[in-house]
Amino acid sequence: MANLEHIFDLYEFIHDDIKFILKSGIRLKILTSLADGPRLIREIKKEHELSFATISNNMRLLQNRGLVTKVNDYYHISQTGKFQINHVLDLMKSMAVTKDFEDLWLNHNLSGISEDLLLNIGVLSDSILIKADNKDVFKPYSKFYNVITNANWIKGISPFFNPADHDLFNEISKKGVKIDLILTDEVIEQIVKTIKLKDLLKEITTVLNNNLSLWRYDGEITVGFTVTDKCISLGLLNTNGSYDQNRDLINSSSDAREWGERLFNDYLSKSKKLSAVDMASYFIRK
Amino acid sequence: MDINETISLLDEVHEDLKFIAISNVRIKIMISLNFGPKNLKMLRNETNMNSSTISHAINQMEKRNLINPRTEFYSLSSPGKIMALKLINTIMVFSALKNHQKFWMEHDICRIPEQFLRCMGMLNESSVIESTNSNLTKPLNTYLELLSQERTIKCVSPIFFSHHIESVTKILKEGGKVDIILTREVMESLLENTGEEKLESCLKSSRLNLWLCDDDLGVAITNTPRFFVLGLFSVDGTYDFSSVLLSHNSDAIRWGYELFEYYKKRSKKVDIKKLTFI
Repeated sequence: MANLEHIFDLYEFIHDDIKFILKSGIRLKILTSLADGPRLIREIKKEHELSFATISNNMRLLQNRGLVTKVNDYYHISQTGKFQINHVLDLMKSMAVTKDFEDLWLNHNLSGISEDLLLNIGVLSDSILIKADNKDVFKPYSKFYNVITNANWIKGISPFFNPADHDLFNEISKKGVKIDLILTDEVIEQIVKTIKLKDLLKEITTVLNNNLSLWRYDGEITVGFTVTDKCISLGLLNTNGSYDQNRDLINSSSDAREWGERLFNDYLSKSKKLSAVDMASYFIRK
Repeated sequence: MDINETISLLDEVHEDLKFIAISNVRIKIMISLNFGPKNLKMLRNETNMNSSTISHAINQMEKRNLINPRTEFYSLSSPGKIMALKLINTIMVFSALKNHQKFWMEHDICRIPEQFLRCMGMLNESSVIESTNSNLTKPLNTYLELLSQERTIKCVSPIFFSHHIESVTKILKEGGKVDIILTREVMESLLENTGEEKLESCLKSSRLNLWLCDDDLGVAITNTPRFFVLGLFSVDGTYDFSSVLLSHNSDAIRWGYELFEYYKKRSKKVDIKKLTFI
């Protein structure tokens, strides 16, 4: 990314245009309509319940800026206009994601999500935030259980270890569901510690089994994340470093799933697949 | 997204968006804090604004959860960080558009995949080569001249022109490596012009790789380690030879490589054995 001074220079160059498009809700409404197709003034009037004078005043300003052109009585959006309104809509979606799920972001650690992905966070705008409450303290977990048991394939990244998940994943992978899990060194060690010697052989067989792959991530993991063929589920660490088990964001749109696969691949590219030998060496260390 | 959804989104967030994006003071503070926590003195120096203006703005932003409650240093909250990144991106993208407004306006930029339009700020450091009355083929000649000095190229070619084949053939003859993504139509013209045998021997050498893309290829790009060239279609659907965007900047080159990879994922590699079926 460019440095601070360069961004300030570009901001000087552009701030008039940014203000012009963002300031007026009326102009944003007009551009939204025109992005859908050419319109007559009276059609816009009907769509947005605005007065004729308000529309025509703003239309003139939009024309002066080259965002709109008039052909016969029809107003058309220009390429620049279309580009700018699309960009602003995306900006608004991101704003909605930060506002609607403020609980999830505020006082939580975002460092586990790349800037590229944060820029595309608008794709999460139609998510559901599952929150634990007094009536159901395990709500996020039971939702997560649903996500896992309904999937045809599962890719997960986890900073923590839950013995119950371990059995659950083993069960599911036996049914033919392909599972890839990215874990930290520490978590893998914990898993191995819970294995009894007589189960080690079985465990190694499971790791060798193509359906379940474990990956060791070299570094700190600050997201609890799952993407499946159906949806994504995202949880974060609190700023104090503990995992927040009380909040989980769920989204099943295809854009969100694509976003989720990019997040998974970011981690995968920095992970190493565990072999049976790796597992055994963890066991010996214990 | 239909109009009603858009309008309700607008109603929901317009006030908040205006709050951060209309004020010079707040935007500058957010940009500045995006590069790390700062104390008042550092903010004053960077933004050239006085302490009371900055403090006032920060108080307001704190109330809206954009800035963390004050310790010695001010820092962005997680929602604040997301919006700071979006604002910087907006500044970069709008500048890239304004820098070469005529070039973008004259072409069908809607055929560039949306995620690439969103990071168009990477194209800020580039120039437009236009044809003039005395030199109608200036964009093409500039491009071919640059190409003649390269050994490794990656192209997305929705159009066919024989000059290009000559240049590519020369690169291959001199031991270079060429990757091209093309449409079925261009592939047919290529077969017709070079002949099956010659194309087959090029492909066998594995220094030429071809991918066939059945998706809409709305851009013509060439990437080399040293430059990036972008040509576009006019809104009426014809390819426009009269101007191209050229950049030697590393961000622009990366943008081009990523776009190449984007199309590659949506293409099938051309198999030597199946040439005759095309």
